[in-house]
Amino acid sequence: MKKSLSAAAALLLAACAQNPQTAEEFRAYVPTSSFAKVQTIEAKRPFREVTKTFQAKAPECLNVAVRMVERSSTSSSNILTTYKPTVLVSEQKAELHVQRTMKGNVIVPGKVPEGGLYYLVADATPLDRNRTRVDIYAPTIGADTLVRAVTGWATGENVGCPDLTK
Amino acid sequence: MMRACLVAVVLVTAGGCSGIRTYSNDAPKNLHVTTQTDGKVRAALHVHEVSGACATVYQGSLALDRPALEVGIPAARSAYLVVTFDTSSFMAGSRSTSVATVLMPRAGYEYELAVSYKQDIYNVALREKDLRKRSSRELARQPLAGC
Repeated sequence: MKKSLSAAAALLLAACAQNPQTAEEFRAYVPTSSFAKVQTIEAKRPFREVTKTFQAKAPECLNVAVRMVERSSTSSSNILTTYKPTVLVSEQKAELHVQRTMKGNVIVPGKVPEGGLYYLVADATPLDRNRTRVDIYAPTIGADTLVRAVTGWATGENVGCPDLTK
Repeated sequence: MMRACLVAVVLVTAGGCSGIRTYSNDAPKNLHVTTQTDGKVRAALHVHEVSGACATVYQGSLALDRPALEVGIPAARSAYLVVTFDTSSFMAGSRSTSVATVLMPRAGYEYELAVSYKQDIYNVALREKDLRKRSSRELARQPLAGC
């Protein structure tokens, strides 16, 4: 059910405006959307450690495909969602981009950027030697587990993988 | 499509005949599995033998329904270990997430598989312990494609 809501939220995000084609457009779009928000956390870890965790965990946990099959007496659907994580690191910023592509019984309005629709963007920037600010841009519905996982990677308190079937 | 070593699958309508059987677990015990899960999730370890051509032959499964379990994986042969987390509810149906890795156990070594699933976030970590040096190291997941 949450997965269906998540897919619906993604489609609403896509339908209400032109799909963000870049992470920068996604950052600009999220604060204006009723279906997405920016969350900011302060991690008590050095920027370098947060960056390393993003680089290790993103490919390990988010390079996945999730198939959702629903059948009832009146309808059926079969949707394959493929996630694509990207981590970009510079001296003063680490960016985690999560995109996803849906195939099957689903219509995605608008132009889909290469790699899929932007689903989450997290920006880590150093506050000082031991603290890092992380801004997470994500849908308000359906991305809760992913946001908690990225938060855990940033703080180092839980470096597990999100169950993206939830 | 298989991507990397981890594929998560949602099956809202469960299949009828799963073909799952209990792993014989009669090899010398060299894999110590510890499990911590929410009550709502069922974790299991599925053991496959890997042939020279990277093909797998299913050997059986063990429920990870207790905090600790001793498992025997034949040494010097590649095994493909798959940990699954299954949940089901009336509203959401059945869902399964899996993590897999290839492991070739070495004689003189033991292995620790730490499995946890809490609040929809999971960890699966595999360590190799050198019994002579009393040292250990974490093993990165090895996808079947690289076997």
